[in-house]
Amino acid sequence: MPAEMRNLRRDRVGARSCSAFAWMLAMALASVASAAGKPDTSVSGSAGPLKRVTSLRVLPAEVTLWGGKASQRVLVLGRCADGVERDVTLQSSFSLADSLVAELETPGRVRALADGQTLLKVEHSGQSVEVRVLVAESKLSRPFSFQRDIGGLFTKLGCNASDCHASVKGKGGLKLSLNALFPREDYRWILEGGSFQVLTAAVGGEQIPRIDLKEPESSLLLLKGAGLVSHGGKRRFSVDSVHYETILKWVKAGAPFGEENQEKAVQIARLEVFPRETVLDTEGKQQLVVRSQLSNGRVEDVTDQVQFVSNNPEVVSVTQDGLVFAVRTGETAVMIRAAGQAVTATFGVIARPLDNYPRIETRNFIDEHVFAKLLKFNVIPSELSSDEEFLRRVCLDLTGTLPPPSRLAEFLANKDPQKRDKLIDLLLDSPEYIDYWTFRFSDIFRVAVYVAGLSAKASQPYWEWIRNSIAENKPYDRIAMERISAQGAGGPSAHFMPGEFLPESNMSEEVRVFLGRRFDCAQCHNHPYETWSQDQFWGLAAFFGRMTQMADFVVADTPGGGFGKGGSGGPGRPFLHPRTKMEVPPTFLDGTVLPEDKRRDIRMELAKWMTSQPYFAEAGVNRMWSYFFGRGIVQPVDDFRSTNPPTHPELLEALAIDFKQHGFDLKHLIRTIVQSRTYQLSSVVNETNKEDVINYSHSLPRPLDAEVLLDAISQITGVSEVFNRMSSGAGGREPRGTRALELKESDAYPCRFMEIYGRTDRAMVPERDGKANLQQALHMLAGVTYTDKLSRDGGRLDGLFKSGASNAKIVEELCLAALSRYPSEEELAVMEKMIEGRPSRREALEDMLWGLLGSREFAYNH
Amino acid sequence: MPEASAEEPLLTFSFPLGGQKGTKFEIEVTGRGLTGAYAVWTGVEDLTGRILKIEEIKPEEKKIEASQATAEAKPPGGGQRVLLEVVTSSLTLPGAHDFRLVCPRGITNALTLQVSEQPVVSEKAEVHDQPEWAQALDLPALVNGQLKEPGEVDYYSLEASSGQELVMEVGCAGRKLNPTLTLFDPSGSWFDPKRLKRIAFNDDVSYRTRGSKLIHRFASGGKYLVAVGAFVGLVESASSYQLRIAPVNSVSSSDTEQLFTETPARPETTRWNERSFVRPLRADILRELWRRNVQVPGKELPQVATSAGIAVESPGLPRRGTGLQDGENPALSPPLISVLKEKEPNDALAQAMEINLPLILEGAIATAGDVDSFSFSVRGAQAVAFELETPLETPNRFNPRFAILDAAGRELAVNIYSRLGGDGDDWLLSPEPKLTYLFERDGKYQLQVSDSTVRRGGSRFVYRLLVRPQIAHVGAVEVLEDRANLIVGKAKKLTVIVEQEEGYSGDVLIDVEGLPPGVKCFAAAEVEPVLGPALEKIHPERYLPKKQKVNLMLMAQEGTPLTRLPSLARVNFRPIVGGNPGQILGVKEIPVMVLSAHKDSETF
Repeated sequence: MPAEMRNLRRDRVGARSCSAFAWMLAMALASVASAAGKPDTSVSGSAGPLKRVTSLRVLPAEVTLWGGKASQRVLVLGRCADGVERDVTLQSSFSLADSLVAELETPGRVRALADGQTLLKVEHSGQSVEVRVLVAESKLSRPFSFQRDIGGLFTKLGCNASDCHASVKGKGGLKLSLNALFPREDYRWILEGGSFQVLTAAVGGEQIPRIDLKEPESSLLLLKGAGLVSHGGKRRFSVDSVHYETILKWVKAGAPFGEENQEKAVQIARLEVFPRETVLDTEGKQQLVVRSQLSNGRVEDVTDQVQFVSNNPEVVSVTQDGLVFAVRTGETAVMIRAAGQAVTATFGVIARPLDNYPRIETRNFIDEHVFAKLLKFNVIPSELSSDEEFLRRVCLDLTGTLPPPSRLAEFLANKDPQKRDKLIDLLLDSPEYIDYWTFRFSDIFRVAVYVAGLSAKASQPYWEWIRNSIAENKPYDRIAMERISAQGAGGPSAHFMPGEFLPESNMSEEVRVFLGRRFDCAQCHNHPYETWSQDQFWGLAAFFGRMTQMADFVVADTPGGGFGKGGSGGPGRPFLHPRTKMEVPPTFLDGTVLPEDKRRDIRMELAKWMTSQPYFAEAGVNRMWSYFFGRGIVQPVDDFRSTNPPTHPELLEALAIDFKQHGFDLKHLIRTIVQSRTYQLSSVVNETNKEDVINYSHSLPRPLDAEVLLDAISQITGVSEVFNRMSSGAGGREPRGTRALELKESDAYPCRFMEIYGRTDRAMVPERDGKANLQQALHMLAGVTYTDKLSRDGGRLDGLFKSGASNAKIVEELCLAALSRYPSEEELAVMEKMIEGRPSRREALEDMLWGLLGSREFAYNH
Repeated sequence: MPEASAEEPLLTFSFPLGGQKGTKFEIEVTGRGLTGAYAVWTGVEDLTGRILKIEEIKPEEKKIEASQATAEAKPPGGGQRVLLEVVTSSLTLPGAHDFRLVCPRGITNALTLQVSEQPVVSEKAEVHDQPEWAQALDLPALVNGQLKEPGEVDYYSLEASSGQELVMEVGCAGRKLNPTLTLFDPSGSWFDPKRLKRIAFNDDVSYRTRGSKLIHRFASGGKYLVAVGAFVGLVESASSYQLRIAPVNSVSSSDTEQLFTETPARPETTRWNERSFVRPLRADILRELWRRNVQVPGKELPQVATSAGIAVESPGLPRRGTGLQDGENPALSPPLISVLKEKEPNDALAQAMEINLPLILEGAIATAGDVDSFSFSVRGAQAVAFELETPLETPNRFNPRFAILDAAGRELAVNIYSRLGGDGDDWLLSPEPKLTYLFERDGKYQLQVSDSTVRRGGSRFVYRLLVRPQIAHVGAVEVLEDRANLIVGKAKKLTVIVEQEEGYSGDVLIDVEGLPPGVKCFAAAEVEPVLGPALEKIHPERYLPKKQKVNLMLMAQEGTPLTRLPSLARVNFRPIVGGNPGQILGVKEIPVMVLSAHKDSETF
């Protein structure tokens, strides 16, 4: 066994995984069964005891059939001796206890016959499972629904995808809503024809109906879909297909909308997919079953009516019927779309299951979730980080500051088993923590001057508010509420002051920062990829429609309406939908309009609503998580969408719940993260996890942010940076010794080093990619930051040099300071030799220090 | 003899900022055109000074100042440093006092020095811009200090006891420096034993003052550091400050006292301002307004009713025989306006407090979101003026909003003035302390007072709202110049801006008295500047006065005697209506000197 795979203890690793004992017992049983000469009940196509099924489960775990002819497919999953769960549906046998209630249409598909209840028994390789089957309203037929029956068909065939008829203006003269989200609009477009226009509600273009009620077979919908006339989307179905029949039947029936007489049509409330998460080996395949939860509380098997798309066909492929095949190792998701809804199923493909998966210790729920997935994917996490690794990492992550050499020695010598937790608490209470997290939040909250169009008199109080919030550990929901609802002068109201002061921009940013959703596309039209509509966008933007900037940096919400850019009409204008030109009342995403009597503090109402949404907590924890792991559980961190699923959905949910239960306490969240074993894993990889970049099986090296890197260089060299403020007149300057992290407005202090290393100007919500570039390399070679600080009199090296310290002593001190570790014997020998071999000892030491500062080990957090 | 330079002497800097009353202390000033300065002029008897030394500023110093100075301070021809001795008496009023130097080229602009009750210590000469070099202070302390370089910070240390509450203030004179205050705990951190932990910070006491103030109760005793810096480290040139640290509620400090207050104005000259939220609205305001119009003997004038409703028929002239001259029959003077305190609850219009006009309402936005509602009646066409005073908190902390509504609750007018500005398409809104409105119909109306936001409120958000009949009058009169150095044979312009309020349509006579012998004052015309296109404004007549500019030329003709010390000339104005003159009211006193055209000549 490789050295890095030392025996690791494993505690409870989640409900879905077997305990080591059970695993061994299963192995033993499988061996005994095999030895007894029983028939081979292993998974078809594979041989050997490792694929012998040791337990079964059926999905869904309960079957409910509503209405006459309702049916439900079930899946049978068998956990094999090698730990992998496989689809054994086709190799299983099925029987029903009461054949009057339901029948087996095909193996694995149960159809309703009469009201009642029965049991479905599933057997495979000596294992059996029973599933309750309930049948109700068997005498009734499901009423026709345009959205589900016709719209769902468009969704399955991809007609209403964002790259076709659901694009902004539609295609070929036909406009449809994405995934039949707006069936009434779709109905109108089909019956009347015409094209969508962004800036007006009027229909554009020639209006050609897509159906012909007098000659149904001549309907364009059929002719084009069947490829009988020229169609950009090619043939979507054949003339003898069930899809063609369905549409023809509908047109012949007069093209009803269906459910018109009902106050509220039955819609799909959400989709469920079984199984939600699957691990395949490279020969594996898995059938998916999709069930809809309807708005009337019922369920329906819609597997045959949904669209399946693999997010990465190089990892898994999927058929139209939902059968997924492994292609190569990796991880991806299969997107499932139905009318108005979407869901994903995640897939991992592994090379071969491991023989001896070690037991891994967990420290909290984070570890339980992370290690459960690693177990499923047969990835062994790295070892725990060394004390040196941990100390440097946690100091940088919590304070943006390297640990002093003296503290490193102290920490290494400390034998207290709780020392890591104690250090975490100490760092959380340090003034450097306040500095660092003020910087972090100043970044995301965009404290700036020039790019923000502010004066320092407004931007600085904004920074002060952030700093005070961090210093007093203000709950995150309160921070959000104060920002969203900011009024008056000073503090977060500065955020709303500059530039165009547009409600739509303000709202989009609040949603992106606090709910992790990118709403912008829905400004001009319904969102092309998600289920956000333009009306929802403007309804939410209306909460910012009364905002007004008054003299002396005061922000207020005026009763009569807000102020946009000027021109006649004066102030206090009502807030209008740009397309319909109708006044838009402030409306929450669920369609609820804010009552008039609550509009005096209109943005506070929005703030309360936003912070009460589950999106708020999950977006918050996701962003914070990304600061410690280099990526969010959803990445990018503010781009939650159905096509961008979380890598660990249960972990995300657990973090969000924990965050909320602890009053949105940021320190508690940070402490929970850094106390986990997951966070404290080493960056040294092993054979099983060396390719992993998304499952947290080891620490991923992360480049230091520009500000942190510059401060580190200043700290190591003992030479502070001077920050002159950019100004058109006589400029200001920060006091001597000010660190880059302490700069309030990043764009007010020109600094070539930080620009090269990716400092953002905060003109938009910043995204730092940390990618290395040629300019950085050149700056390292000849840039003034390095050359000046290395050679400056009075710096650390100068002091060491003049103190008469030996080369070994100097090398050791600089290594401790820069890398937070002692140099190895070999490193020391090489460096001493290099220094002694140079004519100028001073220059040699400078070069040595330059080498340290230019190393990846220094410039990265690992 | 060569012609003298047209450049006037100018003071740019002084240090220290002041001293204790009843003592003598030295002040160093810099500027230009100060060569040969021979007198210190304060205009006040119990504050005098004399010149001790004058020296030229060395070239390298000139260079430093040039690179850091503003355009005004940049010395084109060189600069001087003058050492003064200032003498105060026990009668000298504490507070800010102006002083000038008298030079061969005339009198300088004014700088401010502070006279304090308590002793003042000086900043130590050694650099103390690092925590370890902090200057120790004994409390209470008043320190004269200066910042010279961008980014400079002066550190001071003090010992505080557990539970002690201290007030720390820093102020400066003029607008060159915007000082900041930071309080630190110097006990270090895990990373750095010398690390300062910031406890408190202040940049501005209020939006319109440049001083900073902290009040802090110390949870534990020990050594603490106070740092004085400049906002964003901006130090254009050497700038003086005073730092005061004292126990709260001690004799020399209170939590409401500002470090820099203005001395009482000379009684003969009143500063009239209708556009300030802190001008006091007194019960005798009507009498003050009538002084700024004309009394016409024999003419019956409309009544000013004091019973229910307003009875003034039109913007009227003051009552015959009434007036403000001493000795007049007080029975014929305009009445004092009654003061009424608001009573809660009065948030909703249905709870509006009934009021009779004219009156002064005293109230407070007691909590965030509080609204005070009042209802009143008017008869006929009434022109009413609403004036607001917010003595404790002002914009941008308290942005008061008062609205006039009709009986149905529709807003008719509000004190928020809206106009286009910036690059022509940005709406600018500002709360205004004065609003005039013409009620065209009689009936019941309502007033609502609140903050512009729903976030502000508290015991300091008090207001006084004056509601009175409009009275046409001359508003603020401002003289732009603060001195006049006349060269014999040449003229000097004084620019006077006159505001006419509430429909005043009479004339305004401007004259200057107390000029040196031989100096004459003439009216002068000026070419009207070409203005850009007018930007949209919403009802400017409700918020803004009409303005006129008057140019006066002071001329010292040939043969005018030269002056050694300035004469204090007084600019007055007098309303004229229908040919009838009103009272003479003072505007400003300006020192005037007459100087020779020849640079090197004696001035007297």
